[in-house]
Amino acid sequence: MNTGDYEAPAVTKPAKIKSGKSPWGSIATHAVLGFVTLVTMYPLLIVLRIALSPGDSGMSPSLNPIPREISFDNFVAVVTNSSPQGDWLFGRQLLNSAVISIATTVLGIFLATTAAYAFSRFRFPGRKAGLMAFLVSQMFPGVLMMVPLYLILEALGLLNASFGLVVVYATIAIPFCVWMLKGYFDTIPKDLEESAIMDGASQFTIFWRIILPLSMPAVAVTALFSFMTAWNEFVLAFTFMEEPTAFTLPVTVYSYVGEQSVEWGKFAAASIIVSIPIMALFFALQKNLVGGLTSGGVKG
Amino acid sequence: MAEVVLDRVTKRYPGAVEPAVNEVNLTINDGEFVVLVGPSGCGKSTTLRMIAGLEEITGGTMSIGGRVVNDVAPRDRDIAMVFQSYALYPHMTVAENMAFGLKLRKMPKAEIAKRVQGAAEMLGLTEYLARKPKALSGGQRQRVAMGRAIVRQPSVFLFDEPLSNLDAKLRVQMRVQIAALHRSLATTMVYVTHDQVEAMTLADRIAVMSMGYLQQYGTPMEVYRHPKNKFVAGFIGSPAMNFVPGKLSARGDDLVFQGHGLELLLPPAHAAACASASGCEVTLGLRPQQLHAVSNGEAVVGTGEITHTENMGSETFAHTRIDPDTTLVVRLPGDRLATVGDTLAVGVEANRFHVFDADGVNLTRETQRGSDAAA
Repeated sequence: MNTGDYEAPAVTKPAKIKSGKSPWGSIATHAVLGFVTLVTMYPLLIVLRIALSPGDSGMSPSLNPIPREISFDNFVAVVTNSSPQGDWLFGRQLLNSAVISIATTVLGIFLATTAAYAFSRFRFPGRKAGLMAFLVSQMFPGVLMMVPLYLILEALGLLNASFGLVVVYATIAIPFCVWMLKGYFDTIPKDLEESAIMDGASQFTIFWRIILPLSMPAVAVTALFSFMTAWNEFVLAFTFMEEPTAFTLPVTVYSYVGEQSVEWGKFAAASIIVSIPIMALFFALQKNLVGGLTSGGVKG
Repeated sequence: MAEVVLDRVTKRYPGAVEPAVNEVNLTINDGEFVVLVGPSGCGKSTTLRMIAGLEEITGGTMSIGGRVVNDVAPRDRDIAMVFQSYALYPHMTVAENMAFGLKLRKMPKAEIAKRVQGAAEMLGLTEYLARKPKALSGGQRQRVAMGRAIVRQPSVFLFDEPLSNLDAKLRVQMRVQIAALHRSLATTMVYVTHDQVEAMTLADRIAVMSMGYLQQYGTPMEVYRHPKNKFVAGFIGSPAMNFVPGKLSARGDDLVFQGHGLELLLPPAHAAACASASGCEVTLGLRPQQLHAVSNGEAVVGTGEITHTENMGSETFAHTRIDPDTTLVVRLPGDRLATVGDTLAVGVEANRFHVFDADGVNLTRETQRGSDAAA
């Protein structure tokens, strides 16, 4: 490019634009936001108080979220919980939860990405009906499925087996994941795929090396959703799992609610422990989550 | 290197009444640069996509390098394509984008690196090889898209409106670059555009399409000077040709065109060619460049008031209303002052006009060509 004798105009820093709003508006906004956050967090703070108080002493009618005395006994008791035979139950149950949740995530993502890609890109008989069926399945309460699922798992010999829960959880998570991913795939320009076709890529290569890497935000959201579905689920795990060694952590939490008495301290401590991995995942995937949740609907 | 032959190639989409591409015959010689041009929806992109293999052919035969490719997958056709949107893989660097097709073909790494480097040097992309597409300007992205095609060393290059997303100045630069690329590679290139300037400046031959039909196929000058029909005449040339509807009538031994404030005596050769249309409704086609302001007593074909002027610097286009319904665009030299409201007497260069019959066929094409050859 020939710029000749053209002289670039001197660059001056743009003056800071004053918003013209008074600081009181900002203070009021933050006060409201702070109040709403406090209201949301308050019950959690009470749970934290109960967990951190020795024994069940935190379970008092007081609304003060700060414990009178701090003790980690409840956490220690939950983590070191063992069976009468001396097996480390908590470790076993944590492992169950982790294995089931990770397996659900992997299976769910594999099936959901491939199905969503097909729904997004191919036109085949039953495409619309399939998508609608996924949507309709979301409209029924999960408990409704308990009896038929129990019968199916029993017939398959998968009761009291981790794999049985994986299959059930994946089934629950997939419809949402498919819709979510399909929405995202729809926004990826077709030109990219055609360009890859011209480059000599097969359908699978296109999916694996072009579409999936570009869909990481949506995959992250669906992965988190699948993981949470499995990690937090209680009713089905409680129904299908009979042996304490097969329990997942939500069932463990409930085990502190006895018929005669409730061990509130341990119950609260266990609840907090169960929430930690989900919180960690949220923080780790935070950036992707915002992108994934918004970019599915808006082409950008 | 390969010759591309379309033999009555047809594309009919399911449920469509009319085919998108209708029995198109086109022979693109080895090493030739052919531009498919036409308005939106004329079937030019569909034709290109059929050559690429991205659209199935519903009728006719397509061959590349002597091999019928109707049922051959795109990757086995030995062609590369540059897309309008560039279609660069956003998650790969420039170098990875260019190397992707070669990697899929399991080419040795050293050869890939050599080719990518070579293409990057040719296109001035060496310093951007490690960047992702989003860190590039529109022109640079366009060059990466071309580089991706070049490294493949295909026998045919396809371009689908590659410059339409660029600003006017960059478009001119890229046009020059594409022409230079064709000169250095001497590979068959098929280029789709709706911009007739690109078509005229780049093509060895232009294929003008409309409504799924190939209207005319010839060199840029052939298409410009001897349009086969009214559509081609109106589409090629800027500003567009003036069309004046009217009637041919015999006056003694001569044939005269009359209509909408315009009267023109046809020269003998033109008159002979139009004899069959005597007494019929026809359309007269006059390019603005072949009209001028009459000053020294030569024949005036029409007179009217200037209603609008477009001063381009080197020339001025004066919109002259010769009739309540008819405005002629007349090219005047840039130094001639034309003011809205002035009266302009319009003359036409002898022989340099076209007469189209009621079906739009150019009746004067052959006589025009004859007189051009004689000149």
